[in-house]
Order: sequence, then C-alpha cells, then structure tokens
Amino acid sequence: MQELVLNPPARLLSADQSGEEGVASTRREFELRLAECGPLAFRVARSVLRNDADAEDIAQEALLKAYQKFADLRDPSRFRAWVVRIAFRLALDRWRSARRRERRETEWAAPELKPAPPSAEQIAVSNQFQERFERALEELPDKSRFVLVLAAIQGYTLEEVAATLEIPMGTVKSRLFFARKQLAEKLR
Amino acid sequence: MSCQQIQREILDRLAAGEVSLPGRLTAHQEACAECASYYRAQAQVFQSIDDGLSAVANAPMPPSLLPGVRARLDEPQAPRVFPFHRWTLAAFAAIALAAVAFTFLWHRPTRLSNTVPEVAHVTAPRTVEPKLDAPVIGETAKQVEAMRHPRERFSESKLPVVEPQEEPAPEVIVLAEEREAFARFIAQVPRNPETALALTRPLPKVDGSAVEIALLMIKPVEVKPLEGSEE
Repeated sequence: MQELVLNPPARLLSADQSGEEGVASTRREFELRLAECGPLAFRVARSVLRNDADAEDIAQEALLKAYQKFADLRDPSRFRAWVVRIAFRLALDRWRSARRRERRETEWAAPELKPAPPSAEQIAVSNQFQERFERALEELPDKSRFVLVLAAIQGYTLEEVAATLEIPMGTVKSRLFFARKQLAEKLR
Repeated sequence: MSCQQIQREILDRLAAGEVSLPGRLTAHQEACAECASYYRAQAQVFQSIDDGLSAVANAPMPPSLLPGVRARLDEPQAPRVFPFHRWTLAAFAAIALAAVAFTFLWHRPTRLSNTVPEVAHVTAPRTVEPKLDAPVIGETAKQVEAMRHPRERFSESKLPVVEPQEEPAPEVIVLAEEREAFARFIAQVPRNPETALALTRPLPKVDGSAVEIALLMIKPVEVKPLEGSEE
C-alpha cells in the first residue's frame, strides 16, 4: 500500500526549519539547480554578449540573484525560466551600455583610427568558416541574432525562447525563418 | 512549376528548418540536374549555419563559473546600513518632499495677510488738546499741537485711528506774575494766529559759522577851510 505524503510548501518548510539547518537545506537544493541552470545561464548571456568573460560574470550575477529569490523559485521549471530570463536581461543591459560606450568612443575617435573593415580577400585568405560565420552573425539585426542563437541552445525550446524574449511563438518562428535566410545570403 | 519557383520553395523549406522535402520537389530534382545541384548547395549552406549556430550557442561553460558562484554565496554578507529597500527609501523621500512643499504653500498666503494687522497695531494715540486756562480753539490750536508733536501728527494722518486713551491733560506752568499776561496772550491767539505761531515755533538753530563783517569804509573827506579864517 502506497503511503500518501504531502509535501509542505517551500515557505512553510523554510520557516519551520530553524537557523543553520534551514540554510543548509536551501543551499543543497540550490546546488542541484545550479548544476542544471548554470551552463544555460552562461550560454544565454553569451548569445547576447558574444564574450566568455562578460557572459560568465552575468551568469554568476543571475545565479546569485536566483539564490536570493530561491524561496519563491523552488519549482524547477519556474527556477529555470527565471534564471534564463534574468541572465538575458542582465546581458542585454550590459550589451547596450557597452554599445553606447563604443558609439561614444567612435564618435570622438579620429576617422583614421577606426579599424578598416576586412576585405573579401582577407576573409578568403583566413579560410576559417567559423570566423566568417560569426562575422555574418554579427551583421544581422539584433532581434534576429538573439532568436537564432537562443533557439540553437541545446535543450532550450522555442517556447522558452518566446518566454525569454516576451514575444509570441509565431513571431519567434518568423524571425527564425528570415534570419536563417539572411544568414544564408551572407554566407553564399 | 518552373525551376525558379522550385528553387524558391527549396530555399524557403530549408530556411524553415524542414529536414525532408515533399515528393513533388524530390521528383523534380530527379528530372532536373540544375535544381538537384541547387538543393545540394543550399542544404550544405544551411547545414553549416546549423553547425555554426550550435558552436556559438553551446559554448562550453567556463570551469570557474560554478565555483565562483559558490564562493560568492559563502562570502559573509555585510550588514545593511539601512534596513529598507531603496524603493522604500525613495518613496519616503518623495512623501517628505511633498509634505514640505504642501506646508510651505499652505502657510505662505496666511503669513502675508497677517502683515497688515500687525502694523495696524502700532498706532500712536490721538493727541489730546491741552487744557489751558484760556480756551484754544480752531486751526491754530491744531497747528500748535502738530508742531509740538510731529510724530503724533504723522501717525494721526497716515495710520488707522485707534480709540483715544484717557490721558491727563497737559498743564502749563506759568509764573504767578505772568499769569495774567499769559491769559491775555491766549485770549488773543484766535485773532493773531501768526503771532502765536511765531512765539511757539522753536528757535532756528545757529550753525555757529563766523559772521563776515565788512571792512569799515571811510569816504574821502573834503576839508574846507572855516569861513572867515583865511582873511
């Protein structure tokens, strides 16, 4: 005969557990989520920032914020969605401020100091597809690029992409379609 | 369908991420070498896109990420200087500012309206006619009093009048032997006001400057011999 066990709500559980025991329990539970969501937070941040160091910093910040809100986020699906969304938002903020700073510096810099765009010959000589691909990806509009990279993250569904970007599912699909066509055009 | 239409459809289906093509497109490729070649080329492009995206999106997580999070979780948290959230602080500040502004605006008109009554209280009592042995009446008496008390005259004419207070009438001390003459003088005041004014007006101040005295001029004297003395 199966025994029916009612799990107490997370808030009550943490309230009943006293002091260090409660903290240790929360920490253990958080560690489980950390192993699952850490890489995802990093990848989402990297899809926006395109930089490993910045993405790591943002992922850490998102996970720390998640720990502070852990009492409200014990449901695994909620936790994962929340971490991804906060990582995306933080990455977007940093990316925008970096872009503003870059624009200011470009405006103040002398024209001769600007790096010259790579020529077709240089690209051909490099013969590295990934480099060429990433350059083509950079040239895409931001909205298209975010959808493309987020949708390519392993284990990250289109529904989750739509929830992270706060757009309808149909918009995600149409952006994916046009972004892939644009990218193919650039790589052809 | 023309080859152009077929190629456009192939491109759209590959861009949409479809793995296999419908039968009519496959049949056309078997008959048309150009479209079959186009499909192979485009399929290769999209396969490389998928590979590239996968490499970009699934970059390996840095090994320092999770230890970094754990280390920051283990850091002792500094106690908060102020136990409220910043939005709470902002709300308090806004309320306090609004209260100060409201108080200022509420009291400002009242303060301005209070200024006039405060000044109105500073009024001098109306002058009281002197009680003399002989009656002093008419404009002359007023002029005499006005010259004696110029401040009172000003306050009477400019400021609001306040109910007169009962004051003792001023007395004039006159010597016994001059009393009769003074009574006559007072009696004559209405008839000769100029005289009265001249007598009551204070002496002009002497500034003490040296008085210039003209030199004594002596006209040339004509000397004439006495009559009968030259004979």
